[in-house]
Amino acid sequence: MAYTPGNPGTKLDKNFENDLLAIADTKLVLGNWYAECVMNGRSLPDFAAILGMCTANYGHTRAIYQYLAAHGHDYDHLERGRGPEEMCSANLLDEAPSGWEDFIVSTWLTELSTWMMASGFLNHEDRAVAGIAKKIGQETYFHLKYSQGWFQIIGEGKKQTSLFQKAYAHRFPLALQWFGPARGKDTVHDAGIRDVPLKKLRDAFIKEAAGAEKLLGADLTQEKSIKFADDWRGDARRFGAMPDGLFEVVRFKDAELAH
Amino acid sequence: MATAIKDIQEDPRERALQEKVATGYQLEDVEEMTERYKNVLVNTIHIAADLEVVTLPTYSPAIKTSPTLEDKIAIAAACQDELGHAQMMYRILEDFGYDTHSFLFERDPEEWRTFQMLEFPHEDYIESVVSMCYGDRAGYITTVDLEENCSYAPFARSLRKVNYEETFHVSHGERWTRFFWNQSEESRRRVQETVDFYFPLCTAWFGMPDNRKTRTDQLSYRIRGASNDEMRQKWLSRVVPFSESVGIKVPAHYDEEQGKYVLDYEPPIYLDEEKREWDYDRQITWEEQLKVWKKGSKHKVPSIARVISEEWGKDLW
Amino acid sequence: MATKLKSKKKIDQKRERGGAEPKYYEVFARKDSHSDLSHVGSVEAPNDELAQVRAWYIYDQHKWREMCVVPLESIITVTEEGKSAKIKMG
Repeated sequence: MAYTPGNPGTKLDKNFENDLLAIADTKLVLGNWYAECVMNGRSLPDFAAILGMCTANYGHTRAIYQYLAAHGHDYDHLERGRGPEEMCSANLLDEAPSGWEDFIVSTWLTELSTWMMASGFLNHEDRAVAGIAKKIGQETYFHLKYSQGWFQIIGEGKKQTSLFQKAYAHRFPLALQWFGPARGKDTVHDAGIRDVPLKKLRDAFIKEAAGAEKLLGADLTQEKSIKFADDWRGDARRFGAMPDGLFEVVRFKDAELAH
Repeated sequence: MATAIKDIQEDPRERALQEKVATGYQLEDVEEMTERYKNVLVNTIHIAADLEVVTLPTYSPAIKTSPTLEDKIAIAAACQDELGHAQMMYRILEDFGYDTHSFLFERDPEEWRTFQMLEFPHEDYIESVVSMCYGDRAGYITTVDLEENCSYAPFARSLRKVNYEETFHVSHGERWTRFFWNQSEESRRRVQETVDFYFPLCTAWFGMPDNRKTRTDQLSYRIRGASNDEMRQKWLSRVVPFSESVGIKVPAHYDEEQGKYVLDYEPPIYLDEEKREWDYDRQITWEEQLKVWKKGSKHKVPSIARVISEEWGKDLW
Repeated sequence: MATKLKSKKKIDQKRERGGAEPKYYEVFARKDSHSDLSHVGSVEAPNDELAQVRAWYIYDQHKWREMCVVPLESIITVTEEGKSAKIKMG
């Protein structure tokens, strides 16, 4: 999707930039997840669907990088100039999926959480930002539906349901952690850049995530108290650096061909 | 496939159908077909569908090695198109009693019918754009011929979408092949090296020369309209002028005397698969060539095996 | 299978394909306000949600103004009664 800057050149609020970068980097990793896992697809039409979700997420990342580039950042640096310690993707996606059920749980929680965060900018004063948020919403609609289709299939299998529950118990806290400490500061909202408080988005995420129980036909455990250790980087919405193995997948290769 | 034409001519039902399709009549139903027609049609769709599926293990590795987001998107989107095409083709086969799932996931990779051009997983983005430029162009010429001529209407109609999307792949390939040719000395060297490898693979896409085979059922039943040589000629008439306009060297030229494009080498020639190098001076026999095609490249079985297997956890990263 | 595979996918026909027999949906779409709603193809899916998504990603040659899927079993043939395909591709 092409980005037309609404108000290019102006400097952005630092915390707002961080939020955008967290969404963009998480979607970059998510796009790579789809690319790496597409051949694990379980039917011919799913191959096409997974690749469709892959391109959509890459597109969202690109649109956000372009927006940031229109406001003082260097696009090339954003795309391929950063090391693993500078990446701002959710810890949720650090560890490779252990199986199909984990893949469905992880991609779904990522789609849902990034959309929740982006939805906070639907009424942003810059039409460009609102436009990106709207586009993310329109495309994520299908990605979430894909997950819902799979919840039903998984829910019909006993072993598969238990694998789903296990993956959910493991990944949900990492998804929730991405929203930051429950009583943390909400500077982007306070500054009037996001009209919805983070707490409201976080609560909506919790509620939506729990909604999977109905389609799955089984209970899901939601760990609501997340411990934030010392190396939590609020600006990047993650702990520590991106693991080397994942960074090797995500980093852009063949730099001399970049254009 | 090349059963003696005599047998068909002696069967009045087969002959009647051949005469009917020769006038431009298109079939809509399985019920209208003779066994022989059905076999050649199904065989044609089956190979076309397999070829669409193998683009997944062939093109998708380049998503990871692409230099920019824009390039990653281009590869993933092209792959998505191809898998969509495969789905449509398999769906047609289901009306002939095929079971897509067992066909896709339970068939031994050895039994897949793929063409050598699509049996080398792309190592980088240059390989992908060169493949789109030369290889997708070859594929497009085949599917356009089917769309325009196939006497089975549902297949011909479904190829409209296929060909519509393939034109985007070809023009993307041409645009970026030209771009990398002009980007730097090193990228130009890589483009030439990749074209050197793909050109003979693409000419082979169209199969044996016409003088090597008897008229096939594909043409008699008007599943296809053009012969192997006619399609190869059409491909050359597009890629040779393109290459010349860019400056890329290809082993073919327009022969004024014959009034057509000709290859500068006498196929089939020897391929060193390890080095990905053709020996233009070392001719092999057609029997040897057919054996190479039948066996497939060393990547064929592992690539298809990946599509029907799962890899998780530490096997991913 | 003669080729040895380390971890072959095991597809559960009943759950993943919607029953003993695979389940199909026919896809209809309208390009723009001036175009008719047309049959654009077909997808296999075990439930409505996957049918919607698969149709959306496979038949994405246009930015459709409208798209819907119909279970094949709901289609009642008028001219094609007794034929092997209730509705044809393309």
